Amino acid sequence: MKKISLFGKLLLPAMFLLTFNNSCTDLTENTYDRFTDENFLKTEEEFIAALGAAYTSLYSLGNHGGYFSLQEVSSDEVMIPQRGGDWGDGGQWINAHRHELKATDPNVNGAWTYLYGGVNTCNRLIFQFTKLKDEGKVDGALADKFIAELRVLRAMYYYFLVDTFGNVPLVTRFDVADDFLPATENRSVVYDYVVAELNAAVPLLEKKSDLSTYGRMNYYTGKAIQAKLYLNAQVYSGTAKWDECIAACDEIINSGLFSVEAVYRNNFITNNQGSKEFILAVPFDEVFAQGFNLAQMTLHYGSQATYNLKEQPWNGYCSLQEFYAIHDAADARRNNFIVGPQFAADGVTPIIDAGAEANDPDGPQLNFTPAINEHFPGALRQAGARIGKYEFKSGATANLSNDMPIFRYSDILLAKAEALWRKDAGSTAALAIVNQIRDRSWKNAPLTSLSADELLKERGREMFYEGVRRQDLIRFGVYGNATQYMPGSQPCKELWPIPTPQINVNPNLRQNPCY
Amino acid sequence: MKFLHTFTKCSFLVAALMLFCSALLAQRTVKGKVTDAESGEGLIGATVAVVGTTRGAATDIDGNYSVDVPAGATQLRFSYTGYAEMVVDLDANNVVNAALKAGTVLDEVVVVGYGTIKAKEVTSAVASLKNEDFNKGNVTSAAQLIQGKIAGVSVSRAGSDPNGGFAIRLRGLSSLQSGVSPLIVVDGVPGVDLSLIDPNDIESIDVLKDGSAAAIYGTRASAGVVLISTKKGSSGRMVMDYNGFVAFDQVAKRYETLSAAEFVQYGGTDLSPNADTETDWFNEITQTGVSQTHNLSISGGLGNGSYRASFNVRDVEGILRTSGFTQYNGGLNFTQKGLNNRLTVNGNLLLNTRDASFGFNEAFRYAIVNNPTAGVTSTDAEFSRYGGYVEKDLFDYFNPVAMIEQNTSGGKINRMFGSLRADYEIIPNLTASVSVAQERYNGDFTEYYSKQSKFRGIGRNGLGRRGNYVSENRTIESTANYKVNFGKTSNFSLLAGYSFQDFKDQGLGIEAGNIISNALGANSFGSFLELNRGLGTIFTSYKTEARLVAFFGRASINIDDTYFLSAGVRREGSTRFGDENKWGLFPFVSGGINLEKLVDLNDVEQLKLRVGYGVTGAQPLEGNLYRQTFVAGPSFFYNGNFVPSYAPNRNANPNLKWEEKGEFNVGLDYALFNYKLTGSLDFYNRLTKDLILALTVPVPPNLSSTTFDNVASLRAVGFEASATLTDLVKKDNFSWSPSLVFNTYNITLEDFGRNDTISYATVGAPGQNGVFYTVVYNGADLGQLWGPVRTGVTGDGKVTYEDIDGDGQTGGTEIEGFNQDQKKIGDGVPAFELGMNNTFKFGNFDLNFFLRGVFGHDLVNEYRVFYENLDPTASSWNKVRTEYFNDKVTASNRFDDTHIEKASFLRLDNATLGYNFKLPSSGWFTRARIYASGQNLFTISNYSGVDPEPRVGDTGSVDNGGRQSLTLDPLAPGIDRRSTYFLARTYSVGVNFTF
Repeated sequence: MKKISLFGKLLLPAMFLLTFNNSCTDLTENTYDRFTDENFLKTEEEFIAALGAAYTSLYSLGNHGGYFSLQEVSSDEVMIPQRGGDWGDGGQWINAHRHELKATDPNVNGAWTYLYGGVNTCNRLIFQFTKLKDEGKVDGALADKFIAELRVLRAMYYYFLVDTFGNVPLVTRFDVADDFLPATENRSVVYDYVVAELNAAVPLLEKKSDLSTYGRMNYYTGKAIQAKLYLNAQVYSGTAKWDECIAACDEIINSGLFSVEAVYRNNFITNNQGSKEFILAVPFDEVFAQGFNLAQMTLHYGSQATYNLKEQPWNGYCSLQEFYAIHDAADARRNNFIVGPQFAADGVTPIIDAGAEANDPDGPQLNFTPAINEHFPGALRQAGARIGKYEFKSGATANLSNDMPIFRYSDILLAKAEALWRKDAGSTAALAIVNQIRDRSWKNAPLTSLSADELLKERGREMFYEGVRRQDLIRFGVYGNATQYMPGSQPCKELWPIPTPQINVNPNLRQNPCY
Repeated sequence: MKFLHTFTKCSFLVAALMLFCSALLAQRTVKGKVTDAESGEGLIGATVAVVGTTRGAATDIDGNYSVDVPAGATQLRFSYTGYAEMVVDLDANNVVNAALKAGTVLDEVVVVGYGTIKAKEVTSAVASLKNEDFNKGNVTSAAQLIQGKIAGVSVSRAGSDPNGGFAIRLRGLSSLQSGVSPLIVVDGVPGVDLSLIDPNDIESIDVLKDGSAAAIYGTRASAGVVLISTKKGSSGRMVMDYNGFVAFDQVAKRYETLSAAEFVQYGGTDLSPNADTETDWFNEITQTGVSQTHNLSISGGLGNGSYRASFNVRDVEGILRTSGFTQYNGGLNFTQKGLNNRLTVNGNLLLNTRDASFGFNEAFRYAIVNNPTAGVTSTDAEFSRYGGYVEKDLFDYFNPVAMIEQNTSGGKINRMFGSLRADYEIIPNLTASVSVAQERYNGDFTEYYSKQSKFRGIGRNGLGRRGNYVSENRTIESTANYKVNFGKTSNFSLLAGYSFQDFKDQGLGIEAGNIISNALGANSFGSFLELNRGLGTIFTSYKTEARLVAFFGRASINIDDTYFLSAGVRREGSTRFGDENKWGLFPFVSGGINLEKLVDLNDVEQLKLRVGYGVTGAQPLEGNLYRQTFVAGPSFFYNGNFVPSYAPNRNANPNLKWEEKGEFNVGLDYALFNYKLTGSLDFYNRLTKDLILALTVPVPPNLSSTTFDNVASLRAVGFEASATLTDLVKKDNFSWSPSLVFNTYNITLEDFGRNDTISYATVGAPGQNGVFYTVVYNGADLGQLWGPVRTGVTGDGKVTYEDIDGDGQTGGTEIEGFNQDQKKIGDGVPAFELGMNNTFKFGNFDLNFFLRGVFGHDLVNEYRVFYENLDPTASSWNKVRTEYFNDKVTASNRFDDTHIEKASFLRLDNATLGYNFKLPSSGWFTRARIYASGQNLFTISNYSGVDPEPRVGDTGSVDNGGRQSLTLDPLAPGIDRRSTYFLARTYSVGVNFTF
């Protein structure tokens, strides 16, 4: 009996251990501080918040590094010289300016992931919204409107991609297999896709341009993408589309919703929201929509005192002397640059640069000179005209509140003028449009005829630092010509290299020629 | 409440188990006397235990005891510190006397997972360090106690930041997740924060080094397990202990920089108001830190129980002015027996409160680069906006004195730990235990930057920052232990257990600027106007919860003290994985043979061969990594208003599972020449696979470029040895006992989850963004430093580089090909580490000194990377003037092989000289001792930086007042960043009294 009793004493506790009830082994993860698939997208407010993700990625256009920086620095209007110990950064900015980008340069990968991040967010939201619509969980009309917007927004990212990397994969669905690795398509195929997609989706958008569509895709934004796509069609596809370009421009012009602002500068002031020239602008705000860091990127450390900036600037971006020189003293657009001696906010106290080099010809007082003594490594700290196109509000934080246009009415007018001129070099209509834009800022100096050189210069003056210069140089066939600190480049360098990190993870990608 | 509910349910079962069959068994009382076998004197406070039960007693002042023995019991075990344990078979006789012989290390008790065993029964790599072996001196953290003392355990802290933590690495690296550290188990409760335990309250530290020992702790054991036993009271009379010391911290080493005259001569701007201004910036920010520590403890027995209470005060100053802390620790521990001694209840309460002032480590960097011709303060109107401190509008340039004097950064940290444990003897040999523990952390951190401070303050018109973080862990564990002895030298034991842990964390951090007056500081957050204008930032806001549930079991057998075998398994589940992967299985097995028992060897007391294999795991450091979560992004302009936007921050990966480490260990424990030479040798080979990494995935088709996945694997192969020579020299009153530990390992990143080589660890600003220190690729030995190779300096001061890729162009002079002209130029991982402890005794004096060396590693001296060349375009920064300084080089600073230095070193870590007073046995004091101690007294090294200590992980690059990362990236060891707190040399004097 005693034996059995001992056995029982051991067995029963063992049985207890085995029959532990479920709460002792409950491993459901409780999530308190973020949304998961299960609890997100239940209300219209959340639905709108989800759409927001597609647009807020545009905020990166305003900061240093990545797509917009590469567009600018690889053109002849902006550079970042290596200022001694500063801005060497492994040579990537020097490479960009000399058209010698490396597939391994971090900014090249940054640009790629930025653009495809935009594409994929659109793909995801189209997928999610379609599903929610099919399940009857959202207002079908609202979903359709958002989906059309997302298709046009996605087409804009592909327009950026066809312009820069050229030969890229087309990913237009979200619900792909786990091991799906998209293959490179030729540039013309990508171009054809953008054309077709815009033709299909733009008519679905609302024909208005007001506060309800500000910063987002509407019918005319779609037309602006078409206009710019057709303007560059020869470069992208080998076939010019001047008439299609003119037609798209005309729809914008004839809508009566846009007009040329009386004062050029008004497009770029801090409170520029609602400019009549903005077809699409990124609605930056120092609180809500941060990312426009131009003051930091271009101003000298000491300039903090001029504008009472909250943070010290980085002394990087500047324009080139040759580019500055195409601006006449009488042209108001020369105010796109900050040159000359700099003063504190009181306007009289000179700013002294305690780190000025001994070989700075005009001494330590901060003085931005259009002349840049060398590209690298010994560019002077104070060298280079600074980018002053946008107003820097006194007391600004690192994030400016100026909205940043992506498509501006003047650009559309000049696109139409160029298309007319391409078809007929003697077009008086083209000349009239160019002079309309020119006269606003440069009084009493109209052109009497249009040449490629004059047209390109006019575009350069009007569209400085709006991310189109590289594209313009390519379209005019002069991108590879030697310019200041750029010894000349082969035509194949017009496209950027496919980033090494992307090729490494996707063997179906093909590197562009000459990289 | 949910926890309480779960606890009640789960503990009910345990209670049922404990109370089950509590029928009283017949019992009798056995009495006797415990004496020293040599002298015959009675031993006070010796422990008498009834084998197989929880019953026991302690001897009184004469060595007498009396214990209740249940009917089934067959043996009594007698033990006493410093004596060999003795087991006596019971017969009908009710008087049992025991004469104990002076013991050996093999009889010492070693704490292992969920239990203790004797050193001779250990079958895996377990290291044990007792109170008397600990490092002495100005010890502020428990980790310091064992620094350098255990082969294979590296405890490091670069620099001497009094608030800086120590990184504990066991056998190198076991995970690529930054912040994975060993599991700390305090008195049997897993997952306790090491900072809770005052070093004065620790009795012993045991480290489970290999997988077969650690696997009983499952998913969190891959980085090793450190078991801490706190001091307990013993029955008998009350004992009071006082331990106090005063310590002085001095700067151990600094960088030489250009003098004012040289600075100007080499093209620096002369800022001196009069020609002879020369500021030694480094002197201006440093001090001799004076610290004091007092520890008082009271312990004793009350009836059938014992207690120990302790109170510690620490007031610590660092070598950087304004850095230090004040800390109070209180501990209360009690043990009570009841129910005829079948129940033992142990309670533990620890309280810790620290008031920390962090200072600003950045001050070191800016003290080195600041212009030596500039004054600290000036009455010039130009500087009134900076509150009279001399500041210049230069990039990455701050007045370091202003930095530490104008601004404050502090923290109030409170920690609490309470545990209650009950052991109940159900029947002889079978004991059930249940323990409940709760730990709580609250950290409240406040920073304020003055309206006049160039560093972070002036641009924001005064800036405040405050973060409050709370963590709570609760643990319940129950175990059942069955142990039977066969004869005097064989035994068999079984362990089964259940563990439930719950972790809750929440926090909120806010930053805002623009305040009317510095007088309000960061105390009145409502006064920051930026909050009203929407410019303030909530920099963190979170609430998370995780749970771990485990079942475990182990069987061990000891046959005749000759053959030992132990095997078991832990099945553990975590909330941090998807449904299919929540549970992990962690088996282990180890065995040993004491060869000495089989072969008659002269002068050999022990020669035990051990072999073990065990699987341990590591879980992700945060939850939800396996699923897609949506987080708030920037606001979105919709219909004329900004509205919130939400986007996923990572791709879902339902397959995410724990990291798994399989470790094979073979070791040899030896005791030779009548225990004069003891120690062990261990060889291990371990493969950690399924390491969790934030993987870069192709952006089409993935939505986010980040997926967390189990992709990488690391192999570590290593060897460790330890040897102690007890009384190597012994003559009259003099003795010398040296001991030595040695370890070496190699870590290979066998798989990195991708096929390419990626550049890693950016050098940073100024001017070296996009330049990297290292590369990572499959098959890489960890710790490689990569860069261009300098071939010379041209006549005009430019640097030339080796054309490594053979394309005719090289890095320094041509931009083309720069990235290709790189190769391995250094190794940040040490070849081996060595520690040598020496204990001398001469009469009443004792001298202990501890030498520690780390050999074969390189360090990037980052001060040299940025501030060495006389680049005329970088003339605003002062230069470091090491032996490598060459005034012919005027090129821009750029990282290359000349900045990598051999950093092997041998350091006198600690030397302590003590005197023990001879005290009359009738006096108040039973023990009195005074000592003087020095830490880091000298370092022999060719490294030109301040601290050649290996850098186990990278803090990353910061500039111009940016914020330092608090985590270390383990993929980039070997980089001595500019953010390191400098190294101190410490002298201390102290007293111990026992009443």
